[in-house]
Amino acid sequence: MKSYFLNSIRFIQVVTFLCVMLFVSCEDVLEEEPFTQIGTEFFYQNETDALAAVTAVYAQLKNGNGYYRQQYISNIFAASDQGASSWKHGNFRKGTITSTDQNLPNTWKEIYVGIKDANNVIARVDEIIDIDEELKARIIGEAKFLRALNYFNLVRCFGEVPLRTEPVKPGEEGLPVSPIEDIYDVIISDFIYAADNCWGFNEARDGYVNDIGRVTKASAHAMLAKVYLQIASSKRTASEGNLGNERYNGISGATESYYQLAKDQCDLVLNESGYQLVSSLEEWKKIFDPTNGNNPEMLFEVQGSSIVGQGTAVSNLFSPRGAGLSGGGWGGTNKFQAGFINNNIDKTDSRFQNSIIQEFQDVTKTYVLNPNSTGYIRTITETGASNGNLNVVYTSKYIDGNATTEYTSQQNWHVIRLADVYLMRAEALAEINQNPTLANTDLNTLRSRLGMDDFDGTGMSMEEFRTVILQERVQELSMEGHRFFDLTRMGVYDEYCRSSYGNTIGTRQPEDYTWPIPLIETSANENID
Amino acid sequence: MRKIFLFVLLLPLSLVAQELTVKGKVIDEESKQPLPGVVVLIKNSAKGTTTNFDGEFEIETKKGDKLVFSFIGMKTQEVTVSSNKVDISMQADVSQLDEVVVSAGYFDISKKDLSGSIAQVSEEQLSKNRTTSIEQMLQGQVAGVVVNESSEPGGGIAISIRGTNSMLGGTQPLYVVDGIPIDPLTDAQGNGGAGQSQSSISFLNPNDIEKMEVLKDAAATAVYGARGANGVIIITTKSGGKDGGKDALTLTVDYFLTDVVENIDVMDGPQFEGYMNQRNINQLYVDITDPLRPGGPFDGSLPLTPENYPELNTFNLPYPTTTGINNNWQDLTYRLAYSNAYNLSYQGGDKKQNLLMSLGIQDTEGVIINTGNKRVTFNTNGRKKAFNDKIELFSRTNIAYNKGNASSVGNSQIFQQRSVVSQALQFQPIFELLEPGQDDDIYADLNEGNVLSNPYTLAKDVVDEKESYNFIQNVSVTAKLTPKLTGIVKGAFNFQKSSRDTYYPIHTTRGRRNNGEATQSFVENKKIYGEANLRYRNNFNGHRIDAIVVGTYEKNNIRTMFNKAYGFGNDATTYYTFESATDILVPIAQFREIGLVSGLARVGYNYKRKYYVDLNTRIDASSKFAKNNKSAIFPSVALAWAISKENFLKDSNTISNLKLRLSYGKTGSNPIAPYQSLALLTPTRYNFNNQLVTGYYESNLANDDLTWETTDQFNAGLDVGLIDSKINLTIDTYYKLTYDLLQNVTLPASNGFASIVDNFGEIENKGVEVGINGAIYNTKKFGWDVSGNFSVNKNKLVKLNSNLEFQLGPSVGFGQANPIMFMEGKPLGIFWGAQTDGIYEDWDEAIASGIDGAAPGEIKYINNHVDLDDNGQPLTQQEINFDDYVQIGNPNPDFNVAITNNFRFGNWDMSVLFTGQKGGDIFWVDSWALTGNQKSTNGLESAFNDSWKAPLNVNNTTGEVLYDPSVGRTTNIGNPAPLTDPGSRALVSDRQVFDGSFIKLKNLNIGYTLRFEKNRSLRLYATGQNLLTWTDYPGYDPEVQSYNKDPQRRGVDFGGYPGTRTYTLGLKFNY
Repeated sequence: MKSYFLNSIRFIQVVTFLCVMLFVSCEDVLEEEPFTQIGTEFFYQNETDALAAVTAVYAQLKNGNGYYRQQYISNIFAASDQGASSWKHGNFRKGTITSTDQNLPNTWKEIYVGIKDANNVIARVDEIIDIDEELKARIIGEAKFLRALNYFNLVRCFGEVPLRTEPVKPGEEGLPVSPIEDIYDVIISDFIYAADNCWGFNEARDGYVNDIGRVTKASAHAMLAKVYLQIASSKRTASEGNLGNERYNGISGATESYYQLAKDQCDLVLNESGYQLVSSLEEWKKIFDPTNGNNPEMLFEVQGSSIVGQGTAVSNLFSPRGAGLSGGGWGGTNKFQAGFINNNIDKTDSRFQNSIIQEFQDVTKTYVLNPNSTGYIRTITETGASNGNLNVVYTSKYIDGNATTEYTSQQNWHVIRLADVYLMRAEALAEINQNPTLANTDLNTLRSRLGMDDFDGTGMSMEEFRTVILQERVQELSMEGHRFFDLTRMGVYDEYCRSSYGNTIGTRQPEDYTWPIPLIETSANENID
Repeated sequence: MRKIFLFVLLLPLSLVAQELTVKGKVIDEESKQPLPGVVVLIKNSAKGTTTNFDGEFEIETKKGDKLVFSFIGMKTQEVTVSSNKVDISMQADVSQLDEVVVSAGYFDISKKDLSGSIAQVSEEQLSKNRTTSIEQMLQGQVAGVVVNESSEPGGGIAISIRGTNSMLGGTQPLYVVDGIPIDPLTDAQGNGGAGQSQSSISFLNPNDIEKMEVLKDAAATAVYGARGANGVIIITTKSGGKDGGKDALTLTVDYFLTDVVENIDVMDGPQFEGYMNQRNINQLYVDITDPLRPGGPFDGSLPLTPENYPELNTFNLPYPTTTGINNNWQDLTYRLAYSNAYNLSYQGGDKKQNLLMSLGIQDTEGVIINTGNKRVTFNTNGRKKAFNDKIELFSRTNIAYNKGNASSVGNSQIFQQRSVVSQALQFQPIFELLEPGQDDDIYADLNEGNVLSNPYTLAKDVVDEKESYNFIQNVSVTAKLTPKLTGIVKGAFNFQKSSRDTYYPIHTTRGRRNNGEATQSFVENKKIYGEANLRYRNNFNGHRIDAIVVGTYEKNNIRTMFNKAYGFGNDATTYYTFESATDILVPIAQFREIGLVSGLARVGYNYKRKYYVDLNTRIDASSKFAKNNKSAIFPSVALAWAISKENFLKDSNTISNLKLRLSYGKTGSNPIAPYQSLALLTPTRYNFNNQLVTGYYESNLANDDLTWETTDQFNAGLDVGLIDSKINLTIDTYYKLTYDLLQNVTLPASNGFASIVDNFGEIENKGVEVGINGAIYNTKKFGWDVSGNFSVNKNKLVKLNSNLEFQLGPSVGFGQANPIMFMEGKPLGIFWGAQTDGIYEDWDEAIASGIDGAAPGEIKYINNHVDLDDNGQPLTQQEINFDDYVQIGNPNPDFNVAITNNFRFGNWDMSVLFTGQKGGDIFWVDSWALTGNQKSTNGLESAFNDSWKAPLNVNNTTGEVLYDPSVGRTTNIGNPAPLTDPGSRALVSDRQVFDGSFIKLKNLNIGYTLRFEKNRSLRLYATGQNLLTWTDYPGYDPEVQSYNKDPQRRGVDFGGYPGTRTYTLGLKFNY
């Protein structure tokens, strides 16, 4: 019996020893080390970290499908009068969009991820000591520019939205929506900070270079001009009784003063070096070449590249499928519809004629633009036999024959370009003085570079002028993401959509000036109904 | 020190020593081996001792005293002391040997001594259901266990025990195979994102299983505290040494024939053409009768001429004459599948040393062409008793290899990548298969310009190869330290690797987007498991103690890799080489380590096997939780009273067994990915003017409070044995409350973080389970026994979150619709959407509704919430939106029932299993397309026949249109009008929800056994699985779940693998 006890005591000793060993190694077993990620406490230490953090804010512009990579672009296109985008966008076309619409959640989410990233940079990079001061101000300026851009897109698409400007803390609730005047305050002060602290195009300071593709001083001024003009014209139409822009009544200050601010900012853009209008139609056509990104007409672009994972989908969205003009077998969803071409623009305009595809071939068929420029005559390539018509027209602004797949286009997305600044200044000048002739210089700068006849506002009413400026804008900037916002701020959204789509399905009402906040937000945010 | 201790302990014995020191030896009569640990008591006294390892004992006593020798499993003997030497040989107590031993995890226990709720399924039961998966063997066997169906070869099968009590935890129970907890196995990441769950136990050969125990209540599951919340299934595989040293060779051969139970009736070619024509006719009628029509609506006063109605100018019928094509895509895509399985096993040796080797080969074909799975399993184990039988060495090795092709079975949520099954139903019957060289461009016209692949092409050409290896080596050393104390040290190493390679050829829907798309991926899990335990057993004077202390250590090292490429010049090399691709995406790798350290102490005590107390405490610490919240304690207590042993029932002939059981305990769950409590940054990439740069963004919010999900469970049970235990009844009722639920809490997207893993909310499950079995006849010639079980579970989400009363579940389907709702006070994962009330008959009714979009032939959605204007007045045009939604279904079944009949007649045997379910609604995603009559895709024949049709008579030849109230149907119809420009029909509504109640003849098995000499036998059998189904569910199978293990998307059928019926012919030869 003795030996059993001895045995068992030995065994217990062994087990105890093992247990002690176990608990010593326990700490190791239970400690977590995420190999593929970095803990936040080890980050935001120096300028490398600061640059990496702001890079992520840029990257978010096309991370996922919801924002500039795809969905947002199609949404603002479908919301315009140019065309209907994909079948998924039927609710935009019919003006029946609701909070459960499938096209909204990703756009909403991804813009706010960008805002979160920008907020982190603004708050945390500010605390970094081991960094060049000018570089630090630039990085914060870039982050503020991007935050303002995100909010500007949100406020124009959704109206009143939650306004978060600080890093989110664990356990924090969702914020209620803010009135648009508060949102615009942040947008304006962010863009002003960016204009003050961002650097020039490709400018070098203290051994650091403002890489091409980053925010520049000029792009910040241009965005400021765009913001002021948005406020000015929206306030103007609101005061004239447009219900869709009613919320702009809450923004204080005289409408004219915003036109003036817009004009001033345009002047500042045009003082900056590194940007220049092209001087001929041939060159103008080339500014849309896939390999000609960041050319002197472009103020700020979301960067596409043929580098793996850096491509955009814009070629696929806008170019016909299977024609060697984009990658992959998909695409061509965003195209001009005949109603728009016939009723809402001057289709003889050289800029329109030179930014659409005149002829293309896919695997079996040949498409040739019809004499009305409202569609293509389709023939079977092999036999030449007629194969009916295709009643849409494709833009040629986003062709990329080298794109191999849907997401490998190196086409940049033009957020804002120089011609827009001239157009904005022309509009602002005429509005400030209620005199269309003051727009002559700027409009003709744009027209003459392409060898077009001069514009002359003499004898025009402001009403007529606004129709013209709207048309000038779309001839120059069609398919570049401005049309929906131009139609709404000018208060003519319903009218233009109806003339493009026809009476029955083109109806837009005041509530269609913005989209509903998606259900994924309202159902998770107790501070929004 | 030790000597003093021993002296003190032995002191009482020496004090009472008077006249005689009796020495002796106890041996087992059968084996003639010494029996250690036999209790030797002097009758009517408290004195006693036990035999040592050599079976020897020594006791001080008097002449004439009676010595009582008792030992578990042996007949108790009494001997009157007459000399100083008493040698005894003990006989096995047959009545006790018959006792069923139940494995409770770390230890075994006699079934009679159970105080927790544990159900056992024996080999006898298992071997009759000749199914290809282990999970299916459990179908209908145990009350409270719901096993879903999956006919996908190698696919995972969902099991839930006592309802769903977790949001992230899944319903999957913990599988413990031969003492080693098995980690869930997931497919490597596929093209549509994450992989589906695989069967965790697919590495096991069903023929190798000796028994399975299902641990249901907390008293039982608490021994697996940390992971016991979903129940535990303990699987014991066979080992040698059973047949008293004989060599035994067993061969089984099975042939399976599998077929789709029933094709769904979709429109055939001519019907589809009629449908397409009807769309235009209906559209014309709706347009011209529109009260807002410029020029006034058609009311019969003006003739239907192009002059009066210019709409007629553009009106035409797309199919005035038939195309003559009529393809049934289901027939083309599904097939009769042949499968076979061979198993050969050897077992031999005796109790001291034995060996088992088993080889299984299985080749399963799926009913979808080009799908299948092949499996090889090899299992070997051996046992050796050494060092005077004091030490037992045991080694077990399982090796399994699976390889299969899943084709394009799963539905991918993005874009147009529909699954084979969805496409087989929706693809237009008037299209031909592609000729060589033909592009499926020809399909584009009827698919809104989208080029979709036909289901045959998807099934035939899409490659989705899954391969997995599983290796488990398990070693244990058991030491009998003293007769009462046993120590075990166990170690196991488990290596799992599953890889998945896919290729979407250039001409398929998905491949077209990217000129061919390939992925290569794998998941690798290396796990080390260590366990040490000490078990103490003693019985004296009717007191029985069974105590155990266990320490375990587990560490998982998981590595995953996902590679993707697209832009292939041609399809020749598929996924094998990425060199032929123009675009190779950045590889995504994950490295994860997960640790779990646990300690367990359990004391089981009973007095005269009448009163039972069972106490249990387990401490678990998991690496996944926040720094100061890693560990938790999971205690349990169980009480039982064997009433039938009391005097007043002891002699009852009617009630042979009556036992009341009560238990309470806590169990936990940690089903989350690691690193969720940490604030983390994730790398991302961007380029400036074609120069690549790397950035970092904050991707995970810290959660310092992250801790265990915990379930409290109460159980009350009653075991009744009637008429000499010929009829046995077990009733259990339970109440489970799960709190601190681990959830992916959706954050307001405006916070910039989509979600955070956090502990929130409470779920309640309560239910009743009844199991009954009875031997109705049991004669030598004829036997008939019946067993059945019935379970009800009520599930309720008590509390969701700190600040929300409801939260939408994840989306299903392409439309990113969210039909699933988590709402306080409601069952988990109910369906939430619009109510409908038939179809609008005409414009009068539509306009009178005041609802936006109402039109003849459109769905009548019910406006449950009146939209008001700024002044609080109802808007004239009401919208159907989220505010109008209500509960439209509940995926939780009301009850489940199963009945098995076993017959034996001479050498014939037969078993029949029926299973059934009441309730359990199904959200059939495909029904949107199949009953919506809104697109130019195919739909249900019944949905078209019972649809709104305009009263217009159209001459197919001339195209002349006449108003004719005698044609068309606008009243009392069930489905919306086929239209070319329909209104809003994509809302989540009760039209997508179907009753999932069913009764199935689940399994029928008939066998004939030929017996030869020397115990050799040959059994021939035939089995049918899912032979008959009675259900109103219009989809393939009410038991199919598309998201089989996702508790947040239960009851969803989205292109789910069609239900199948399987016939098996087989033989089992024992040599």
